[in-house]
Amino acid sequence: MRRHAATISFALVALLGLVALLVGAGTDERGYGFSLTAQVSAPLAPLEPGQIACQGPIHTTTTFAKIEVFLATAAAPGAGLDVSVRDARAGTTLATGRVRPHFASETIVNVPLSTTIRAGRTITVCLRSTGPQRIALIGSPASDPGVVLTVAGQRTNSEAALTFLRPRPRSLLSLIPTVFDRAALFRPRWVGVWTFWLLAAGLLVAFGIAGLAIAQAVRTDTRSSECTKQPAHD
Amino acid sequence: MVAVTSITKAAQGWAAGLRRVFSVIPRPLAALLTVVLIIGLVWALIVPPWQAPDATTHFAYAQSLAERFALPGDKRRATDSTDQLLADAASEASLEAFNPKTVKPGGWSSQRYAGYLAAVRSHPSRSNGGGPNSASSNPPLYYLYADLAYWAMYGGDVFDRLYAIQIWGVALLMLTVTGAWMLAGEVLGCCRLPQLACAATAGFVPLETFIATSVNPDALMVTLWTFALWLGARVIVRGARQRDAVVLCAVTAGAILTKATSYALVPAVLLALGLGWLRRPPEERSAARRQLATALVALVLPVLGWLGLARLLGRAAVNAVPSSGHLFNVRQFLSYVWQFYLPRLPWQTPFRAVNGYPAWYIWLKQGWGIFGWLDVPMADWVYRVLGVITAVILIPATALVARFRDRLRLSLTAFFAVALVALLGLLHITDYAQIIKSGGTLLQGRYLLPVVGLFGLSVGFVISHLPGRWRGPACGTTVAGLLLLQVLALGTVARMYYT
Repeated sequence: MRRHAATISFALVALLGLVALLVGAGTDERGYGFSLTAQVSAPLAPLEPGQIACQGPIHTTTTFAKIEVFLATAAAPGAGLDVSVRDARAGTTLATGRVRPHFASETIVNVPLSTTIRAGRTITVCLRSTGPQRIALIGSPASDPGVVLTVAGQRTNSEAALTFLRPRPRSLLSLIPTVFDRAALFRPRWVGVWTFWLLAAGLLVAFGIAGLAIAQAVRTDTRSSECTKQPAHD
Repeated sequence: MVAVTSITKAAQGWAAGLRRVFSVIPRPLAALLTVVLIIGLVWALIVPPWQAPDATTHFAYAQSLAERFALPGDKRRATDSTDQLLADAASEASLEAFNPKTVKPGGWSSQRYAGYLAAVRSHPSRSNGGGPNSASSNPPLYYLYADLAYWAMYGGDVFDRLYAIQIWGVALLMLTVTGAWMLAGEVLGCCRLPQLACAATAGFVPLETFIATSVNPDALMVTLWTFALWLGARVIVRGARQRDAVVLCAVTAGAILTKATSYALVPAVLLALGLGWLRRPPEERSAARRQLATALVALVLPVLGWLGLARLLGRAAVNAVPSSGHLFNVRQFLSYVWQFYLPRLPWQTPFRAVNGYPAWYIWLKQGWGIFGWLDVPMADWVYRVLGVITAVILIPATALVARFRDRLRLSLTAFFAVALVALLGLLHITDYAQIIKSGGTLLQGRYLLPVVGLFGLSVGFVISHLPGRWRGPACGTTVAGLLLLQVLALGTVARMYYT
């Protein structure tokens, strides 16, 4: 009887908890796709109306349909942006976007693109200021030697902070296969995506084994007169 | 045919041997250790490279020892080897530290990883590191332990060796859980439910699983402290038998040779030996005194050996806060301690620039689990719930302890209290010295992990005092809650680094 009460308590708490975590993961939506290594640190070289800043080559690790850009300006209304995403090798335009924000110092703008860009491509992102004010992209000193930022045709030693957003937010639960794909990189060579699926299954099995441990513990204590008596008042 | 028969006989012999070993392990413990193994492996593999406190530094130390049989700290050398730097750059580990929201492991780029694998074919140097290292004043015991895994994967690349060390840390986690089980058995009696609750708590506090499976000397220190707490209790309960005393002293020496924080264990160990000796019948005490003196050699000799070696090599044997010219002010120190745990009184000079209670943020939040380089927290509500749970455990445990009247329990309480107070005292004095020197604090929640066994013991202790029919459900709820917390913590880490 006592063994049943213990294992029922364990099973009930575990089950309710796992369901709650699953619901939480299912409703935790992530629009974030990927970003570059640049930090949102300081304004970079200024961009006058009509000038273009281009950054690339960028390897896309997630499908995206929006780009988040961090901008600074000295005075309102700042400037709008015409954004184009190009194939880094062929130079062809893959998608375009346009925003007309109104801001006075710093802002974050989401630029929706005309089409979705798939993961696994190598792209260049170009941003043309449409004025009226001078603006600057926000970023940090270049940390990835493979990615180059040019402003008005001049190569800089900086990297603009760009974030690439998914076309539709996805729940954390639906991203589990993606998580395992990414976790398998920069690991020992014997580790693959299969390893994380196996460990996830192992986690579920672990709950079962823990339940057995409790059942065994109750069984042992029930047989021991020492363990069944009430503790003496100290 | 002969060879096949020999192999079969050998395999049967091994199987029989394993069956004998496992027959000694109580089944609930065996099951718990299996769960610990699974969860430990998940932690060891899910965390991106070097995303644990000071992991790059500790790996560099381990590599210097493994490759050159030399302790790091040579000013003429680079801190990290080319081998480590190449992998760090590829996985963006150093950029990611403190910036996990914007910098993701290697940009999640399989091309980047392929680029690393191509670059590593040129066999970048593994032995050109060993330079100035903030961990270089740590004694080498943990790093020698880690190097066993390093050498086992010597033919692989740096990720093979790094993750081998982390997986090897799972053994330390399993030992910690075993030590906590033994501690509960010694103090509470061999009732499996309290033992299970104690051991599960010690192993499944998320910070403990995270640190144990990182490259960090705290992993070994927690294990040795847990065993020292068990052995100290055993010495007291069983009257300081020589074998117990020798092993206790040796384990304490091992803890000191892992990290200097473990000097805090010495007063408690000496107290345990003294209290155990006092429990001997008077006619045995003279002989017992000689035995204990012999046992102390197991503590003193290795420590003196390390201090002597450090002096010979011209290196610091202890991580010391350099003198600031400010004198230690007792009143100021007491004000610092007050403000760590309690609201600042109107006439007290603020000691910290940050708002809130340091004890809440450092001991409770970090102590339960903030991951990465202290930049991957769980949701705020989780810590509020854990705060309530911690209070629900510690308040009744303290109330029960306060009712002790018999000598044995008071002796055990004194032993544990001295261990805890000495640890806190050492940490606070060091933190205070750092604050008055530079304004920066150095306390982190993981520095309280050495006494995670005591926290587990509190859980087991409270459960053991429940009415009989409630112990099973209480233990079941505790273990289920801890496992759910583990899933939540792992989900937090995965969410931060991979989405």
